[in-house]
Amino acid sequence: MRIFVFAIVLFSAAMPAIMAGASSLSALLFGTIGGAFSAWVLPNVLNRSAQPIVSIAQRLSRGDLSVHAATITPDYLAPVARAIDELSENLSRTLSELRRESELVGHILDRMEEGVLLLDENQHILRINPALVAMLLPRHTVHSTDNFGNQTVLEVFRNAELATALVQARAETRVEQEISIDGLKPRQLMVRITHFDEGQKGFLVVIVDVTEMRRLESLRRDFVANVSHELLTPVAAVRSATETVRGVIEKNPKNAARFVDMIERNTDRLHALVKDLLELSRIESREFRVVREELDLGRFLDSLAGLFQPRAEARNTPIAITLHPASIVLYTDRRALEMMMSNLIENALKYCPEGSHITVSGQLDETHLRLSVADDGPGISEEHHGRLFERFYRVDPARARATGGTGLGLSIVKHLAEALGGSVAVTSALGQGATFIVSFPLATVAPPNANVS
Amino acid sequence: MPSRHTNQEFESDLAKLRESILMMGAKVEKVIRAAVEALMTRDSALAKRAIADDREINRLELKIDGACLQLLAKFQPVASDLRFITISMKLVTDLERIADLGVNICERVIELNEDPPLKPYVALPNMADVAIGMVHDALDAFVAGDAAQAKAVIDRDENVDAYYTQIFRELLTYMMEDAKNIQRAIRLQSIAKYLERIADHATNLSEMVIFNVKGTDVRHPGSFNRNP
Repeated sequence: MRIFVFAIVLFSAAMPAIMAGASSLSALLFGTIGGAFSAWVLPNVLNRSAQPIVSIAQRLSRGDLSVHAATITPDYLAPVARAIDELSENLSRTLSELRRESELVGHILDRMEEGVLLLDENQHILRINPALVAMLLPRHTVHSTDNFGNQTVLEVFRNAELATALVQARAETRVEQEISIDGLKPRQLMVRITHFDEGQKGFLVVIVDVTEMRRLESLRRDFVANVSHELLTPVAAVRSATETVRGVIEKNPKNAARFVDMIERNTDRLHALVKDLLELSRIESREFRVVREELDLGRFLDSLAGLFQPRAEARNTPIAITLHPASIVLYTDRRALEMMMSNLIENALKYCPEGSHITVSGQLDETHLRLSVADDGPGISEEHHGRLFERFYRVDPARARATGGTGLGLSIVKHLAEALGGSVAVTSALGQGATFIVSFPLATVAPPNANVS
Repeated sequence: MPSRHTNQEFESDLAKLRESILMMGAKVEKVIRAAVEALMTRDSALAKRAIADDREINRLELKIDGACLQLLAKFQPVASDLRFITISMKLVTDLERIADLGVNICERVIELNEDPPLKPYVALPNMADVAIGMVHDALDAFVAGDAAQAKAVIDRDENVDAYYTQIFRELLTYMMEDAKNIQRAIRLQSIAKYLERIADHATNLSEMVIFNVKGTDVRHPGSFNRNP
């Protein structure tokens, strides 16, 4: 091969010499040396000097961006070396930018509360975030999402509803569907599926947990139904009494007084109800502002109990006050505390038969302040404890209405306690009286200067 | 030697078959979960919905059976592919039976809800948990092609049998105590029996998964067992 090339070079080198008509021998000699140099020596020299550059380029292509070409000799290769260095720098900058971006996207996906699932056109999993795994596989404890790649949704989650929605998504541009996950903690999930590019090559599934929303919706529905019902009852009574009064007033004015009483009683109830409702909505809304002031608990409870004294005496139900330690000074919202305690005392008076005993007590320990109202009345069976603080929840609807409550008192107590940073609880059993305890962590009732020390 | 095109078509059909089975499995699981939830929450409406869902499962069974026959006729598969298609036909039969038993539970639940509850259910939900878990894990083993996992499912069948005996004895005492309890107790006993049968079918599923995995053929590598 080399001989053949040599011959051609010889020939081509000889041609101009012959054409110029010079001494054919010297021309032949010169041509021979030149030919040998360009065909054999030069490539070898180039090859050897390019070797470092080639190996650097190979390392680059393997992803090793730590290489430096600038030190390469000989000097005539310096421009190439600089170009390679520039290339490698650019490459590493672009790569680290890409990596940062991908990490950022990963972090966002990892910390999102919404479940995110990315599928390719065959609906194999490309990317998935931990929130989605937690929603669809509540029993799954491994938090890594790496091992789901390239499987189908059915293989991983085996959720028929989700799979059906995905089948639907092949034909439609956007699918929105609610699915339910049953089990110990049933959940309602809102699934939204869209194509993530216009070529319809893949799918983006976003899942939002709407369990709490649905629960609130149903609470609201119940509330509206209850409120309408509660409002309607006294209004109906007032209306029928008014009609009767109209008839009675002409024939038998004496009897009219009875119906006017009835109107008054029901109007009062209506008034109390609307007032409580407004109070409750005020506490729930942001308008409610806690205004804390210093307050001597002993004196506060004494004066509060004083207000109930006439009724307590009439029902032969004494109200006792105990304090431990004997003197407690609080820093809290007087009006809120007053409303809570009077609601609880009123309840005790209302639901206990004549001759019961009510004990109002305040107890301060290292961590909490506990205010309680205890009675030795009929008690509340345990099945009601969970729902007792709901609006309009009645343990015994018939009796509650007879005693004239609005059904909102305990709900108000609960909201106020929470607004002040505390909580309310009940301990009771049928036939063993009831104790309502409002407790505050010390920090929420301590004066500001005590907080500092 | 089949052409490349045919091969691809075959592979894609196999993948579709596998997806259909998983879809059917997911629906079956949903039916039995709903049945047990309906029992625990005394929710007749939920039971009725679950019964309605069973029709879709029956339809899927027919569809999968048809697809299997077509695959056999069209491609005349051998070795592991043949094994996969034949066990698929058996799998759907068991799955369909499991759904039927779920429907039976729903029917008893609707009847039970007409009377006040006989007693608080303690062992029954635990038994249901094990039985449903077996179906779930058998399908997991099918997905993963994991014979060891399938074997573990089979071992759990004993637990379910023990639960059944315990529940049966307990219900007997209720029946002996008061003849008025007999009707409700028998319905509850039927439900326990259905759960026990569900566990048996889950055992069948697992056995077929093991048959599918063991002795994997090398002539068609990776055709459907992702993790052999």
